This record gives sequence, structure tokens and C-alpha cells, in this order.
Amino acid sequence: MWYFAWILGVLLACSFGIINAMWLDAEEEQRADD
Amino acid sequence: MFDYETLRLVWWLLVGVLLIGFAIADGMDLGTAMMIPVLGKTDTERRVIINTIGPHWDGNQVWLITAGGAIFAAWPLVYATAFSGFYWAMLLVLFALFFRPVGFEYRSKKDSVAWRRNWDYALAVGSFVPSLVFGVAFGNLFLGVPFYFDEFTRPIYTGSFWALLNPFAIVCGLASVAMLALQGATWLQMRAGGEVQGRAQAMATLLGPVLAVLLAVAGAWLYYGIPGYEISSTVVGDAPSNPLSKTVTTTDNWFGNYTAYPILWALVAASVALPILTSLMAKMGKSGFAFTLSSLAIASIILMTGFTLFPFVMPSSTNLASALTLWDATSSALTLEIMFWVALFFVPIILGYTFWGYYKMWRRIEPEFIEQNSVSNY
Amino acid sequence: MISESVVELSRWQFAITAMYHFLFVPLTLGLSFLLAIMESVYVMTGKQIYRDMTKFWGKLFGINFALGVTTGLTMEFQFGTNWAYYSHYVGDVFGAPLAIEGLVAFFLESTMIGLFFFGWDRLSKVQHLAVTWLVALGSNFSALWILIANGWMQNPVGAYFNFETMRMEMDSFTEVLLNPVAQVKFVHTVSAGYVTGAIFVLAVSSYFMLRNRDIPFARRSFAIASAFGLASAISVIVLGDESGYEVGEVQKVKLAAIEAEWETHPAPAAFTVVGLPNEETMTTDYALKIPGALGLIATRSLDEEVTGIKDLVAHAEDRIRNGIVAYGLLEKLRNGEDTPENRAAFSEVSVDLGYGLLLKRYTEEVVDATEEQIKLAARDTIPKVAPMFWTFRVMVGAGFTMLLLFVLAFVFTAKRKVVQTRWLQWFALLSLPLPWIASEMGWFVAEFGRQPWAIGEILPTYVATSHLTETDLWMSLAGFIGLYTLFLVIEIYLMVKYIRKGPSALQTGRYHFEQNTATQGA
Repeated sequence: MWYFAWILGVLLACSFGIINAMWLDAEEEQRADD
Repeated sequence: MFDYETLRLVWWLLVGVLLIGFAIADGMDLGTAMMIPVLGKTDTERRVIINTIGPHWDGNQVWLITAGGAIFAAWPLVYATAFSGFYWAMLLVLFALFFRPVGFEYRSKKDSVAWRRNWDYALAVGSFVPSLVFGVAFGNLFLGVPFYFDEFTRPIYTGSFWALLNPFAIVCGLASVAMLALQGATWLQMRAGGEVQGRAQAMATLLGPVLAVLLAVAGAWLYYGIPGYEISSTVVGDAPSNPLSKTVTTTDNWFGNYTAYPILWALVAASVALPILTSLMAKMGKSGFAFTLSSLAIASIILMTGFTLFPFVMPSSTNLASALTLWDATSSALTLEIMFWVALFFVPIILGYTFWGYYKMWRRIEPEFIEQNSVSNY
Repeated sequence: MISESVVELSRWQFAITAMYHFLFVPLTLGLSFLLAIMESVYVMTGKQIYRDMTKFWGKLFGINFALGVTTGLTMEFQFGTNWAYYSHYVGDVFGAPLAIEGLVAFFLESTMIGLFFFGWDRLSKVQHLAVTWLVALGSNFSALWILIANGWMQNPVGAYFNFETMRMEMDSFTEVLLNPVAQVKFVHTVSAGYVTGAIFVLAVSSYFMLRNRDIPFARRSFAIASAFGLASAISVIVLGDESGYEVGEVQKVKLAAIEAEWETHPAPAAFTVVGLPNEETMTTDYALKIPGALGLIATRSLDEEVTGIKDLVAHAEDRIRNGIVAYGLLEKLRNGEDTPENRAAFSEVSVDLGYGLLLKRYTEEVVDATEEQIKLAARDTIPKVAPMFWTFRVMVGAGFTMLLLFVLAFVFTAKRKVVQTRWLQWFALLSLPLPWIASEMGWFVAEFGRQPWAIGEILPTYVATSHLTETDLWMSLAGFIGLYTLFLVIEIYLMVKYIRKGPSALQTGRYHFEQNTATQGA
């Protein structure tokens, strides 16, 4: 079922994008605290 | 679940519902946008007009797209014959409609008088032309459309574009313009602030009687001057869709259904009375009532048109038997049934989130609001 | 007799309007999810910059979306206006997904998009976020239904020919829905859309960085696009189209043409990397081959053959002969000889009726077709090889270049070195046209590769048109080209205008052009 693969894939790609941005911001905040 | 005959009848009603939805929702946008240069004198006033439909035009336009798609799916022969036969009328509508999405979106993205004025006129013409052509097309259905089918059911149109522009059809076209402009004017009276509100009120007051008169003229012309059509063979409601398997004759006029069901005259009365009541409400400043009555007028006029043509969808003047009716131009029972369930399930959902959107965005658009939020508005 | 030039012009008109529509669709598909990602980060972290990002990229999204809607209207009208016989012949099956697209997807997308733009102050944070996600879902569901319809054109399952109504009728909606070609196409196309959105954001962010403007804004956008793009690019390539070539005759022909596989070779077949396909001699000159690779990619095995063009033509010839029989029986059935024997005989051969219709291009009297006409019609079943061969390679080349860019963008983002790495920013900026090139090439491979069929093995393009004149077509074609050119110029002008302004266009007072001069005009 490729439709099913799409649901998983798009969720993965979106969370990947969200995590990458939050990671960048978290690191920046840490650097600001140091 | 249902037999073929019932499904066919249900789909005739559903197409009617989609057309009414289109005329009420997108008709309101068409009516509003066609009056931009008339009701808005300054840039801010014109932006007030556009922003009353800003959050809604896009969703409303889908009524047209869905009606087109539903006709393709439920009445493929009608879709094929009407769209290819009315080739230039359809392309004219299409080319005009092009200017609306781009017009709304691009108009206020550049601070230039000429740029904005050009888009205003593009929006107005792009809204006026489809409103006119839709009415003209319906007028021509009553006159019969010159087409026939060859042995492989290929639709062949024998008329010309100019023949569509006959006097009766033009009266119908003008009625259609007046109907949608009335819808737009009552909407603006309800949702626009400043000068625009008063002008919209005057326009709505004027357009109600104009629409009633145009409908009366078209109706009288239809009654006294235009022959009708009638199926002369026995209708088999569950036969395979083949228009050539029946015979059709002409009759004195289109009012055979009214003789059989006198109750239909109530629709005629409502179609003439509702625009006048709309006008009265607009004059009294009761814009909410005016808009509701105008929407009801639209529903009544479209139902009246449908019931007058019933069971015809597209009569042929070239070869009477080629006429498309709701019994012999439909999809297979399976397709009709699947589409029925999809529509039954999704139309309420669509109405739900559409009303939620209107509820959330409900406010009168005042000129000050536009000036203070210049960047985020159209 | 149908006029050859009306068919040609109708095809040009459809190709031009569809390819033009497809300039805007992929960006909508991808950018809508990127907006949802940005706004999700805003709602989760409460950081204003992510709200500004959603709004700024949303403005560019709107400029693109307007033309997507405009050109989409054409697609809805054009089957009826220009392909009337097609609409009648397959409307029972093909119309349904189009209508469902309106009801299920396009209503959702369009209603929500109005709330997305105008609802910032009228909706709660979470409500607005939900609206943004629904825009993305709506646009992707739109793509789903359109590709179910398109997948059916490539591989028409779940339908049969009804001689009484003279058209195809649906017998299994589930089969239409779960059509393997539709499934693969959907995943491939939307992923290509995600890649387009991601490249767009990468390129424009790189432009800001190259200009040393709004760096915090640009690097966050860059980070989101690199991660989302990398995940999507991998899926375009891994979940790529290839597995779709296993089903259906048309898909086999397409594969053979893409690979310029003239002969059936013993398994596993070699993959031709480059070469010059020669239609005359039916060979590929100067071919550079990798042994075994094609067999492996196309059949996922070492012992299955990839059928070559010459064998496919021979096979088509057999089916045309069968089609002639089917056509003869159909004429009998429709002209009063509706006997149980004729019905039984027809149902034996009706799958090949479409092949019989291929002869319509050469003769009105299909049943009396000559040997030579049959040979010509059989040769028609193979699309021109060279255009297929090259467009496919350009698409794949663009795809791998973009994959490389995403890998680099992701690695440099992780190492926090994007802002200093000028060459990477240039690479991203110059890659801007690649997703559009790849999408258009991909569209060409799929649809030109379907020729001579409008509906694979069922309805030849040649007989699918409306009854129009050459003048009608020239005039409408001129109208489309004129208006579309005008709109494209305006769209690009506005895109460039807003990209140059960058987030300062939002007039929040927080961005580059507002730092020195307090106020700027709209």
C-alpha cells in the first residue's frame, strides 16, 4: 500500500523539519545562556 | 440500495442543489466584484468591497468547479455535448474567470493607481461576463440546441457562437446578471461600511424590481412565443443511457408540466415576488433579511428553470431524438450510487466548515479597518 | 473522418495548458506543508520569528496559488470543450474522481486558504494552526484524486465496455481507487512537490544570506527546508515511478521507450546510461551500458525479461487483428443484430476494441483494414523514443542534483556552517529552476509516453477529440497562450518584488529594510 507509505512518509518529513528547527533554536538558546 | 430510476432522479436534484449552491455563494462574489467600479469611488472603498469577500471567494468558487465535476461524473453526455457545443461561450467564461483569482490576489500588491484601476476593471468584466453567459446558455436550452449524435454517440454541434446571442437568450442573460448583482448588492449592504453601504443599499433597492421585470418578460415570451419539447415514447427509467432510443416531439410551449402540476405556479410567483421583497427589505435597511430573501429568490429561479425543462436537460433542435434528458444522459447506476454517498457524506461537512468560516470572519468591513491593515488585506 | 490537424492542435492545447498548470501545483503541494511546519514550531515555541516566517512564505504561497487556481479552472473545463468524445467514452469512470476531488479536497483547501490569510486575528493560535494543516491536507488530497483519475488513464482497471451505451463503465470503484499506477504516481508526484517547495525555500533563503540580510530568518527557513526536502527527495527517488512499469501494456511500452530497449535481451537486461536512439534502424548508437542494471531496477529480479520495442510492436499487431474482430461485432450489435451469440463473441474480444480503434487514423472501415494499415497502427503504439529517452534522463539528473543539495544543506545546517558557506548558498540559489525542469520532464515522460492512447489500450487520442474546426483551435490556442504569458509575467514580477523585500514586506518593523528608515511604503 503506497498510500500508507505516504502517510508515514509525510509525517516523518514534517516532524524532521520541525525537529531540525527546534534543535537549532534550542542550541542557540543554550549558547546565549553560556 | 436505490434503483437506477430513483438514482437518476436524485442526481437531477443534486445537480440542481450544486447549481443553487454555486449561484448563492459564488454568485454573491460575481455580483460583488462586477460592481467594484460602480459602487467604489476611491481606492479604499474598492478595497472595502473586495475585502468583504476576501476570505470567502476562493471557497465559493469551488461550487462552480464541483458542479462542473459532478456534471462530468453524473451526466457525462451533457458535459461532453454542452461544453464542446458551446465551445466559444465556455472559453469566454473561462477566460473571464481567469481574471478573478489573479485580480483578487494581485490587485493590492502594488501601490500604483493604474495597476489597481486595471485590475478593478478586470475583476468587474471577469465577473460580469460569466454571469451573462450562464444566463444566455440557459436561455438557449429552452430554444433547443443544434446538435446530434453520430452512430458512435459522438456529439456534433451544428450551430454557431453568434446564434447563441438571440434576443430571448439575451433577456435570460440579463436576468442572470441582475440576479447575481442583487445577491452581491445585498451582501455588500450587510458587510461593507462607509459610503459603499449606502450605495449598495440603493443598488439592491433598484435591482429587485429590475430582476422581477426581466423574469416576467422572459416568462411571458416563453409562454406565448417559444415551442416546447416532450418525450413521445414511453420513458423507461432504468434503461441503459442511450439518448437515441427515444422519440421527442415539439409542443405549443414549455408549460406542459404546469398543466400537470399546477402547484409549480407557486415557484413562478415566488420567483417574481422574492426579488421585490428583497428590494423592500434593502430599502428598509434590513440587510440580513434582504440577503436571505435574495438567496431564496436564486433557489426559486433555478428550481423553476429546472422544473420547466424537466425531464429535459438539453433539448436538441437539429435532431429531436438526440435531446439529453435526465433518464438517458446519466452515468451507470454504480457511479451514480457511489457519487450519491460521497455527496451525502461530504456536502454537510462542507457546509459545516463554510459556515464556521463565515462565523469567524463576520464583521462589517469599515474603510478605517482597511487603512490600518493595508498590508494584510487585499 | 477526423481532421489530423484538429487532433494535433487539441493535443498541443492540452499539453500547453496542463504543463503550465503544473508550474504552480508542485510549489503549492510542498510549500503548504512547509508553512504548516513553520507555524507548528511557532505554536510550540511561541517564538515570533516563526509566525513571521509563516506569513512571509505564505505571501509567496498566495501569489503562486492564485495562478494555480486560475489554470486549474482550464483543466476542469477542457475535457468537455476539447475532448468531448473522451468525456462521453470514459466519463462514467474518469468523472467520478474529478467530482470527488471537488467535494472532498478542493473545497477544504480553498475554504481554509481564505481563513489562513485573513484569520490571523480572528482565530485562536491552535485554530489557525489547524487551518494551515488543513490547507496542506486539502491540496494533497486534491492531488490524490487527480492522480487516481490520471492513473486510470495509464492503467484503466475496474471498468468494462458497455456496447449499449457505447462507453466504458465502472464495475469496481475499489480497483480504480487502489490502482497500483495511481498509488505510485501519487506518492511520486506529491514528493516531487515537497522537493519543489523545499528547493524554493532553500534558494530564496540563500539569496537573503548572500545579501547578508535577515540572517536569523533565512537560516531557520533554510534548516526547515533542508530537513523536509531531504526526507522527501529520498522518497521521490526510492518510491520513484519505476515499480509502476510492471503493470499494463502501456507502462511496458513506456519503459521500453525510456530505456530505448529495442530488443528483448536475455535477463537481466543492461541499463543504457546515454546513447543516441535511432528510430530508423531501431538501434541505439554509441550506447554506454551498465550490464544487468535495467533488469534489476525494472523487474526487481535477475531472471525476468524486460520486453523490447520490436516484440511489443509484434504483440500490438496481434491485438489489432483481434480489435478488428471486436469492432465488426460491435457494429453488428449496434445495428440490430443483438443476439446472445454476438454478445458472447464480443465479450471474448472486447478488451482489444481499443486496438481496433487505432486503425481509425488510417481508415473509416476498420473491418476492411489492409495489412499495411495494420502495420502502421502497430508501429503507432510506440511513442517516439528519443524524446522519452532524453527527458527521462534530464529528470533523473535534476533529481540526483537536488538530492545532493539536500544532503549538503542538511549536513551544513547540522554543523551550523550554512551562513558562512557561500558556495553552498550559490548552489542552492542556482538550483532554483531544477524542480520545475524535473516536474515538467516527468509530466512529459508520463503523458507523451502514454501516446497514442488517451486511455491506455482503450481509447486512442486520435478519436477522443471534440467536433471542432481548425480555426476554433488556432483561436483558442492563441487565447490561452496570450493570457497565460501575460499572467506569468505578472506573477514572476510580483514574486521577485516580494522576494527582494523579504520579510520586510510584512511591515512589522523587525526586518532589514525597516531598521534604518522607520517607515516604508506598501
